[in-house]
Amino acid sequence: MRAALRSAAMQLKNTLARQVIQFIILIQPIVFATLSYFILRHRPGVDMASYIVIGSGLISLWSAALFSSAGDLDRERRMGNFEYLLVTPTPFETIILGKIVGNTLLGFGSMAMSYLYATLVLRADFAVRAPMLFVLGFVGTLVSFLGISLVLASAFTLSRSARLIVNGMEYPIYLVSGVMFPLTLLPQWAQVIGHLVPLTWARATLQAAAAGLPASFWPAFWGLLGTGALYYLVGRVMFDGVLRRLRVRGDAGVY
Amino acid sequence: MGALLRVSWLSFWALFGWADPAVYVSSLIVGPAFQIVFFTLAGRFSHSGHGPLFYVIGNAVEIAALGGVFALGLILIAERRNGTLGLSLIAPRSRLFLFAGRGIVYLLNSVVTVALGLGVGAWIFGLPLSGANLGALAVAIAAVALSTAAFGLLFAGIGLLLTDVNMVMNLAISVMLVLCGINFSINALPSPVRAISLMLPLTRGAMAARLAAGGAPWAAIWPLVGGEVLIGAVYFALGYVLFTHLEATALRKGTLDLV
Repeated sequence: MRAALRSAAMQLKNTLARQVIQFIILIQPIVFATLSYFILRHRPGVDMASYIVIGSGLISLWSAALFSSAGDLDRERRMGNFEYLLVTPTPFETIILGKIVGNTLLGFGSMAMSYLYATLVLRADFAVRAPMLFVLGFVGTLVSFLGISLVLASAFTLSRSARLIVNGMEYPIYLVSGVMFPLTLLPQWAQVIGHLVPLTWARATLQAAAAGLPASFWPAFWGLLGTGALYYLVGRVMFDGVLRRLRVRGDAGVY
Repeated sequence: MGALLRVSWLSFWALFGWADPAVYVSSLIVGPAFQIVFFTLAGRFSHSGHGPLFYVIGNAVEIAALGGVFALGLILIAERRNGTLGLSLIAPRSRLFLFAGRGIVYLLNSVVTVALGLGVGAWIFGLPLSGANLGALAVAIAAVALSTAAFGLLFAGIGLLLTDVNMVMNLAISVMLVLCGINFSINALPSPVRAISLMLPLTRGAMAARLAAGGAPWAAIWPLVGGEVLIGAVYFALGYVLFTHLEATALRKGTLDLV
């Protein structure tokens, strides 16, 4: 636990110094909040503020998870640290979990940025009607993102092209998670895929809390935790397999 | 010219040739195609009055801009990471030849990406492209690719002073995504911001591409394409001067190889 917390603290310091992460946390929420505002402002009867703040914040949270999961491992490999991390007394998975916690906490900065920009600049009327549920939704989102980030980190551990692959993983997830329009616009099969993505449940959870709708909040919250737990289990199994494979092939440091 | 094309091809191959085909498909086909679908569905939900053609063409042209802006940036990142940036800058060939020339295959590739994205968008949303002025559409896309590559030259110069060129490129492409009328009309922007958008590459190119896709005649499209090319020429001149100046600054400050 201590090692994971130390890893998270170190990750926060290192990542904050990276300009691409500064971009994701500070600029990307502004970009997507502006796009959401100008695209959705004609739509009658839609809670635009909720889409602007929650949608654009979650978009940046997902980008932060993707790019830092891929970039961290890529950087460790390039700098020759990767093999050392694999053989330190602290399990590699603990170090990675710490990094993921750090990244996700940073990602929440994007949500704060979305809120500030939407309310101060775009004058969006965003109110949280159930603050306690909103905080609970945040915690659930953090927990759920640990699971999916573990899966991503395991997959990226094997790939030397992770940085490039993630470029194609942003919009497909935005599309099926309903961050800018309801899922009902998608075909049934795409909606099913959407429900396998924690971002979908995080969006539904936070929107329900903001609207003060406990009846909608709880199913979404359990869905959020459920998908998070599922991905965590998959990530654990994947990690064991990936580490075994790296040791057998002996190419952990090949860049 | 032969040497220029050879340099360009080798540079492109060095970046993507060794990689898994999945990398190429993921970054240059899947991502852009999904961007088109995402914003078109958002537009459909918004009831903005723009049809799918507006979003599909706008985002397809923005993908060409992505290729243009990132062409030089990706080369700079790779050179810097491999420790060869300094060597490139002291090569007997001119920097213009080395860096701008390398972007040619990236630009051609971005045209292929746009065509695929357009195909996907047209297929999913049933766009009636049979009446489109396809020649003018291709010219508009090529003009955007060139003008945004010139814009990229400007940002690549700034990237020489920073440790993270990616951030600068992402900033450039984000500014264009918001200000160039890709997903909403620039008329919705406040006047001062609209004036800025008219000074950026891509704005006129996107307008020209939409007209061409709607079947407008060449006479209506040429002024916009001409404006796009002119803006590209201005950015090219600015970018070249700045790149040369910042290269000297980066050498003096010792930031050339910072990663």
